[in-house]
Amino acid sequence: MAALTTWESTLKERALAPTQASGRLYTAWLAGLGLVVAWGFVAYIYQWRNGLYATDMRDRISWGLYISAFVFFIGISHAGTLISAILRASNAGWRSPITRIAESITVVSLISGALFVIVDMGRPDRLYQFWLNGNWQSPLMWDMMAITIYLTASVVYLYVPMIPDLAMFRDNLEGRVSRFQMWLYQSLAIGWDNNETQRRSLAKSITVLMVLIIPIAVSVHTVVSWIFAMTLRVSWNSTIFGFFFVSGAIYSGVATLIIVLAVMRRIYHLEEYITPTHFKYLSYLLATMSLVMIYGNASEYITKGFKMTEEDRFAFEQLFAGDFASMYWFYFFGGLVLPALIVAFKPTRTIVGVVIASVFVDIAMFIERYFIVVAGLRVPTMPYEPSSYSPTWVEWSILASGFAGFMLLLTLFARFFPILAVWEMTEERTSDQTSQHDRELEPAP
Amino acid sequence: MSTCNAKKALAVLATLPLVLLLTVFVSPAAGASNIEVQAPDQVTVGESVTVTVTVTNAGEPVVGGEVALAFVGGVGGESGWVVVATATTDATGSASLEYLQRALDATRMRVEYFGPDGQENTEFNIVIVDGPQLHQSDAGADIPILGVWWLVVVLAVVWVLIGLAAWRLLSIPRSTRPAARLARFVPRLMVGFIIFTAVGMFVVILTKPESHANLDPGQEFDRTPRALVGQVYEYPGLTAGDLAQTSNELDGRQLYVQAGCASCHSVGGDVGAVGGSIVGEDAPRSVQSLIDEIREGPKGMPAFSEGTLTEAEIEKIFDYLQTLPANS
Repeated sequence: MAALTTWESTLKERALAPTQASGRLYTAWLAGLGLVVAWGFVAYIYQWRNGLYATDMRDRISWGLYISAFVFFIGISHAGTLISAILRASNAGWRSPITRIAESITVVSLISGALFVIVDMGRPDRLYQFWLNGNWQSPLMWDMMAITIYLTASVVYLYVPMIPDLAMFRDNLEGRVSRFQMWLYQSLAIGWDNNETQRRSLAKSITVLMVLIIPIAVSVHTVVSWIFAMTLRVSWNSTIFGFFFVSGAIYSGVATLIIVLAVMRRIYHLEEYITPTHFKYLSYLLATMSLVMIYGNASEYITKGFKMTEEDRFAFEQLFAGDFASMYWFYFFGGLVLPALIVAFKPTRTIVGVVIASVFVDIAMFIERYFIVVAGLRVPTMPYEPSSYSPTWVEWSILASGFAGFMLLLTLFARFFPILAVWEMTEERTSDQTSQHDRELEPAP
Repeated sequence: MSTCNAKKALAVLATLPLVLLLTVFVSPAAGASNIEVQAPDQVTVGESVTVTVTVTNAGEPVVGGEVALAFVGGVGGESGWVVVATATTDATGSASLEYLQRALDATRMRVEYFGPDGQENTEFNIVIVDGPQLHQSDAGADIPILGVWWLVVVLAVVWVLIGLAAWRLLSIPRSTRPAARLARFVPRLMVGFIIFTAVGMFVVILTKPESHANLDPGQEFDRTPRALVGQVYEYPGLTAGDLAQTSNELDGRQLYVQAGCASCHSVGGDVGAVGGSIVGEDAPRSVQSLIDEIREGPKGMPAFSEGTLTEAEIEKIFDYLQTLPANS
């Protein structure tokens, strides 16, 4: 029992340490991200004053980087849902050290993704008009509803299992953090003192949420795919878009989780808790999803290519041999095949290898979103010359700002909130030791 | 193998002149058949029309001949015969051709006959009387059980579950010793936010005209007729044959559409989802009152200046509005 107490106190210290993060490098990191976000804000103001004409989106190609980023961020939000809810529901013990980080990725990426929709609308008051006068027959309206529900449920799902850890922060950080932070922990810990009634309430709440959040997450990315699949565009005429988008979301979500875990593990010295085993299990998931994605690509393009209508011919030529060919083949070989190969061989299945594979996956998945949106819109629907689209500095700036904002929010989350689910990890270890103890007591066969 | 094929080809070539010779002597001269057409003199748009064709040759009925009915139609400046129905003649030499009269422009008709005794055409006219124009839906499916109320139910279940999860948290600060007052604020805020967002979502879905229309099709807000794929429904648009009006009223009608009145007040002026009715009891009392309203733009309506609509033009719109029935 003494061993557990030492282990527990080390764990607590590790969990509390990020709140004390400081140093030149840390400040420079925060300042750098802040600058990029601020620059994006300047670009946004420019766009606001000049209208969407400041972008290269026009009548024919009316969606570009913003919508690609929106789909990408909503996609990576599936990291939290999958890892946390599915593994929690299936009672996979290894999940507990990584759930909190996964859940925080969900909330942060949902916020980033939703902001891109507002940026894409041009005038932000259109969001208000959308709610007031939107037609619910439109998939855009369904999307807005699905994301609102998902964001609300994700915030609750991030917060509820964090309550005991917030209480631990409240009890251990007195005098070590600012008064505001203490007030924050006192309010958010809602008087948790780990009694039986509280534990029962918390368990019930978590159970409802984890069951609920899986279908919500699946519905969100399905509806995102329907924005495309329910529009009359040749490249988007697909019945498997829902499945394809959800798979892609899980794929890029797992990759993002792997990258964020590796970074946090290194910076906050969590090597003891986030172990190579976690990376191994997650890499298996990554490889499985890459095979699912390869299958999806085959199913989608072989069936269309076999029939090859006139419009499909144009879409195929530009995707496989034309303007978008380099993007597609990088996506296919660099983003789907290579990661699966890296995971398949033991010498490359190291933490570094898996992280490299994940970086490839994330880049490729962003590119995939981009060519689905832009190449899809480029196929002419009437006999006119195909249009072109190349993002302006405003779009690149806001995109960079979106990614910087994502990283900044994650860094700030780690600064103010517990990134390790300490109480779950302790419970997990206690039950492990108990069962080990029980096994030792059993008579030898 | 190739020698065998060559022999076959030679045999076919040799028999060809024989077949040609027989064809010339045995088949009757082209154009010998006689086509009799029985068609209504007058058809209303939207009506289903049956044209009966009887083909005879030297007084004998022609069996198994193909007949087609076509009208002069045009697309993009090009015009030509457009086939609307085809049939095969029966034992009595007759065939009936059915079609739906969709528009006003098809008055010149032609029956084309292709049979064993050659090819023949005959043309005739049908007078077409204006009726409701018809539109054929090209998208949409109606699944009886699957309605918007299911969406409302699903959303309600989801929100209730999220709410319940947050509701459980209310008991946590209550069981603390001593009771933490500050701590009660967060769960309450959370539950409040969830109720507010959920209720807001339902209010938006259920009350706005655009969505309300679709919750309850057939009500006055029904802007988008619901139809199955390929189903034909009435299109309450402007009909080209409505020529009984004076030129002032016709101009008024054109202006009414051009200036955008129709987009809020509907083409018929009586079922506007946004602007409401402006015919019958709701019609403007006088030209001056209409001018005043158009210049001022009451109840959220945009104001139209002299540069957009002159007084003379508004007068024409007024004349047109007077011709509209209270309920079209």
